[in-house]
Amino acid sequence: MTANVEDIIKAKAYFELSPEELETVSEYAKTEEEYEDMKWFLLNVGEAAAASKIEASSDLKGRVMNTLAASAQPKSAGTNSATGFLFPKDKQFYRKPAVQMMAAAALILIAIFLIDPFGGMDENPDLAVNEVDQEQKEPSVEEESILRVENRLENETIEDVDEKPIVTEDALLNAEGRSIVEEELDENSPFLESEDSEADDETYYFGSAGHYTEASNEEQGIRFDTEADLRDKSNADGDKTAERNQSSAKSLKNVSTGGMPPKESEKKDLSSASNDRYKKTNGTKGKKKSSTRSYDGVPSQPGKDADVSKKEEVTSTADIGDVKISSNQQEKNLEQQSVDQFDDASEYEGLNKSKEEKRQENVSISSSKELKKLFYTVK
Amino acid sequence: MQLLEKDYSTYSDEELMRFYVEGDDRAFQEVYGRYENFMVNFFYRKLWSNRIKAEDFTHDLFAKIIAKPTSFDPSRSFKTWLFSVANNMCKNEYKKQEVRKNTAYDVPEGYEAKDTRMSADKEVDKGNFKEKLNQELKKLNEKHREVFMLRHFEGLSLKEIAETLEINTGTVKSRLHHATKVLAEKLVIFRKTML
Repeated sequence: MTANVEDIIKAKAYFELSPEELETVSEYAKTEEEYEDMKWFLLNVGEAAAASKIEASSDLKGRVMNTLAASAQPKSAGTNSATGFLFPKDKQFYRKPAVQMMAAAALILIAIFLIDPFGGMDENPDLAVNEVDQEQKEPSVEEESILRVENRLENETIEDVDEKPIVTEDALLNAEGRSIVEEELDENSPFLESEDSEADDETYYFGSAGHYTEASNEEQGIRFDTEADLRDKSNADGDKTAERNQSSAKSLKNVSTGGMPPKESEKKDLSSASNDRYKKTNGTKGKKKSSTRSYDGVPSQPGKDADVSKKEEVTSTADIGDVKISSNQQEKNLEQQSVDQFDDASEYEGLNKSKEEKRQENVSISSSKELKKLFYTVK
Repeated sequence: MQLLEKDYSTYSDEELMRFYVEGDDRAFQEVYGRYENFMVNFFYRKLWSNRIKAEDFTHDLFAKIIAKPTSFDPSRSFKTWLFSVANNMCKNEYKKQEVRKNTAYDVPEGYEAKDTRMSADKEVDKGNFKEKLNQELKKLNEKHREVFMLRHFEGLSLKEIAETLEINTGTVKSRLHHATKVLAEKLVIFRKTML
């Protein structure tokens, strides 16, 4: 090797060379004198090269750095930026701070889920479940005619109640002491019959009026107190006298007329309509049954008629004066029409039952909605 | 912040160039610091010992790297690539000077119009060894001269010389042996006078 030859010649004297080194240096020097001449030459060439070296001026470096700055080379992420710190390019993957931090975060999350500090969440899985089991039944073709009339009446009454709900209080207060008696309540009056009717009454009131609560009813409800008293008394005594029935009927009628005394013509219309309906539905039975009158023209039934009568009360008490009277007349006409559609009283009663069932479903639905509203309002 | 800073002195030339290609200017500064004097001396010896021209060529060399750092092939040695570029620049300059010499009156630096042969008494002067060496180097063939200068002045190994000149290592070895033998025979006279 040439490099080795030069190094050997520079480093060693001729007598220090081994046989292999002598063979190697024989290319440059075969004798000791030639070896010494070559050694002297190489050493002086090295000295001459070192002596001829110059130092670059500081101006040169400045010029080159200016060129570097002027180049405006597009740069990637700076080494002093956050990205440069998190993702250094000169480190291995596992030594990059971003990777290390993500690994630490993953370990912490795994530890949290393993320890499960929120244990017990699975024990009550139904906390946030809100199930609605109500299903809307499509009305049959036979019920459509009744429902059409009914819906029309409900829409009218609900609108009236929503417009002036406060008038109900005044009407109820003013209604006391006024009476219009068209039909007497007998001992089998369905209005006073069962506890279920009371529960249904509450539900219906809540659902139809919308703005009413039990507390407000108690505060306002002179009529409610009277009705409850009637029920208590009738249940306790078992003797339902005509006077008591008349007084309850009076209160109901007063409410239905918005607390205003009905006119004589209205009294006649009401009495004639009720008599006609009674004849058509019950035939010519000897015993005269007392019943409360409802807007939909259906004879009163135990429990259910109480709902209807109370609905009538709420809706009618929202009206004042001529508006209320005109709506009553319309309702009477509709009532009469719906009754006239049926020839047989039994058929009418069957349809009436299905209608009442539908009404109860609607009332329950509306009551559930109102309960939700009330719940969120209170909350 | 000291912990976050890179110690560029620990990186190789090739790694620093990779950093510079990715936008790290400090890597380039480190490379420049390593080869500034090498290149100035290389151009100084190759370009007729003209310091100004040597610095200009050095500036041009690094300006080329700044302008197009991707021209460096990372699979190669940066040192040999740099010397190769510098050697090509010198060859281009030789060609320019040859054209100018034939078409103009001015003589390029390093070329002397007068007879450079010294008298016998001056030839034996110890202080004239370096000058005599330069004269004999100029008389050598370019191929032998550049190999000799790269080996003894720039300190490159035979392999590096082969990569710089893009020739075979055996060729480098033979050229170096020839140049050394010729120069040694012509300069050995100084040894006898100095003794």
